[in-house]
Amino acid sequence: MDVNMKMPDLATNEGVELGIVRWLVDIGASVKRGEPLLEVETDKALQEVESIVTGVLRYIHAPAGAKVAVGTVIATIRVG
Amino acid sequence: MSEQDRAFLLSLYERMVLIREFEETVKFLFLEGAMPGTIHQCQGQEATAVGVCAALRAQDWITSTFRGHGHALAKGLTAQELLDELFGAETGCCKGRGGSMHVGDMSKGMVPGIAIVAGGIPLAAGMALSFKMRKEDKVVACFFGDGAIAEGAFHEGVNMAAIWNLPVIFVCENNLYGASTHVDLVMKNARISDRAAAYGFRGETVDGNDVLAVLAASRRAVDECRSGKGPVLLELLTYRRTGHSRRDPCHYQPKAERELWAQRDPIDRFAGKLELSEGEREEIQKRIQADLTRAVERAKAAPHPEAGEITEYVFAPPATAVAPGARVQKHPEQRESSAPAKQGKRRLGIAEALREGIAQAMAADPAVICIGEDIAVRGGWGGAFTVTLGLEERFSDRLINTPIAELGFFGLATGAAMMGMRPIADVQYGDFLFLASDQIINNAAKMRYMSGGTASVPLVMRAPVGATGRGSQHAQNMERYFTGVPGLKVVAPSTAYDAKGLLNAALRDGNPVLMFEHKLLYGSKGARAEPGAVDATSEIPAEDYIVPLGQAAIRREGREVTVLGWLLMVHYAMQAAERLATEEHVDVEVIDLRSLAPIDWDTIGASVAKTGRVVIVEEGPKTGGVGAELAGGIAERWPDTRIVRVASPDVPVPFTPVLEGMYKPDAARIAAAVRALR
Repeated sequence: MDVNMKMPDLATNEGVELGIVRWLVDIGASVKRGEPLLEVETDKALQEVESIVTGVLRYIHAPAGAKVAVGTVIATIRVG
Repeated sequence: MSEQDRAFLLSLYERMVLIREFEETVKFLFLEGAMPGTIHQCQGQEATAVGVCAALRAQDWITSTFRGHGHALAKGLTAQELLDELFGAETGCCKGRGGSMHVGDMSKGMVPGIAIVAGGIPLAAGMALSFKMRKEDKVVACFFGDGAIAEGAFHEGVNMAAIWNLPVIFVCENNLYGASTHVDLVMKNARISDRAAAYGFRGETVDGNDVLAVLAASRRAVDECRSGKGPVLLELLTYRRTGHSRRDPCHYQPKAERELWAQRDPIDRFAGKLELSEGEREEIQKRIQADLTRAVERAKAAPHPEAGEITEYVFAPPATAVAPGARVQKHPEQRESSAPAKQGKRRLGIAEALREGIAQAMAADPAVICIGEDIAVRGGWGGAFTVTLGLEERFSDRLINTPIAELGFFGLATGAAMMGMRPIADVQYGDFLFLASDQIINNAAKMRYMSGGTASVPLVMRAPVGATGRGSQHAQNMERYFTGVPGLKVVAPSTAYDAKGLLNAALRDGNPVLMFEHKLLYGSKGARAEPGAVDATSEIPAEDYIVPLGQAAIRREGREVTVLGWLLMVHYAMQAAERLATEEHVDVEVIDLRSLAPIDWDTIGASVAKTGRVVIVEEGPKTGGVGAELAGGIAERWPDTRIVRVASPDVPVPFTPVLEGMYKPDAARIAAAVRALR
């Protein structure tokens, strides 16, 4: 089963887009729920975003350097 | 280790895993954007909740904080009722009215979480007071964080628990940070538990990440509390492995510190003690995860309240409001009779009438208690204005004479009320209600709503107000600050008859009712007599009666101008009306509001329909007063009405008599306003 992971709501100001600084897991690599998956720049600071499931990272929908709105799909992870 | 022991220990382990997995599940639901609101989580602190609650019986109680998911699961609330609550569903433990910070379940011994730091401490002491007074074998475990120890509520609540040996286990979960501030920056002591000694009871610091150490310490504390040797302060050293709240990345927690505490993870350590294999641990975790996944699906589909149900659960229904035999008066005492007292009636002042009402209520119902400062000192005053004078002889065990600690004892009164007592709490001067207002407004008034209508707070509060030669801080009319607080009823009697009748109605109402009393109307005698006092005596029937809440009284009927007032201003309005009638043939209708929340719009409406003109009289600054609410309400409902307000200037109450005289509206100013409207 593929799970789409969305950009979490980390900004303290409404409507601010969040910048993806870098991905910490390569496509095709395994990741566990709770492990850092990417690094994001909020209006406050750099912050790691954890994977919401355990599985294999299949797709990255927003590369490093992209700015995306909260709720945008950023990754697809294959579970099980 | 016997089978039974192992089964018990495994149940503790599983409960901790349930809390961890619940919190992780919720965390990712938030990250996904699937869940509304905010959350405060307890990953890493599972052993404190589980260890403490395992030492309690089902009928014991806990109070919790904004970080309460773990406490709730440890006390026996189901993951389903919590998830439903977090999703805002009608099926949640508080019917979606509470949310993450206020989870609780009155049927499972957990009051809704108190999200004001330390706010649950006086409440827990009051719950314990009710158990002690009823000689019940119950205890309260009161959870709070290290941040709470700097709050005044901690000092006041803990001190009262100490002086009365109340059965409370004060459980301080010291996770090193109050929000983002390290505990060392806000405390000079090395140990929080040392503070217990300052209050004269036992404190203990425990490894809060060792569930068996927490359990052992809690059992000792519970035993002491049950045998009348409470309270006990337990400081449980632990660590929050997640942000303070939803978006907190925890950058203030040093990496080395986080890693050190990760080595002390309570679940890993206990698994080691139980010699669980990786396979066994995984089996338990997977089983719990599967249960939670199903619960999440159900919670996502759970029904939400209808938007139109927004006003449900503000007040307990008045089903139990009137005791059998109580006589309901529609418009009693509309005109004061100067005839001699009839049989069975006596002429009493407000202080005497209240005293009689309180005594009768206490004689009829053992749940009625009085709590306040200087109310039960032999050779003392019976409160600041003699209302409870002599009751200490008759009801010595139910007159709780408190330290000077308004925030604390209003919290105690609220907690005792939630456990079924019927406290009457009073302040010496209304001005001191500011100190108590957190407990009154955030706890007493909101508890019914936050609990989805499952908690009741049958609490009567009394407060003297009015400018009486005492300067600015023993003089304010406090009505403005409490009228318009949802969940609170407010009354303000101008006669002795109404004072006793409203007190009786308030005691039967089952909701928080705040009664304002005017110092110049008490009729206090002897050393407590007030210069400038106004006669507010009434003929008081011997039998029980009530004056219903929410009903105004027409004190004088008239056709031309309506005058609205309450407390002292009713008397001045009557003087003005009589003078205008005899000297200028002006026909004034005087309405005594009696209830400021709710307001009797029916009586006001009938009057202004007749007169078309209204003078609103208020002792207290004009800006933002109750009079502003009355004027707005009248203008909205009956827009053709001409409205004038007579109130004090926007200044603190002055001391010097010439300025105090200028401050208070009087009969002459009321008469001038009436004339201006004609």
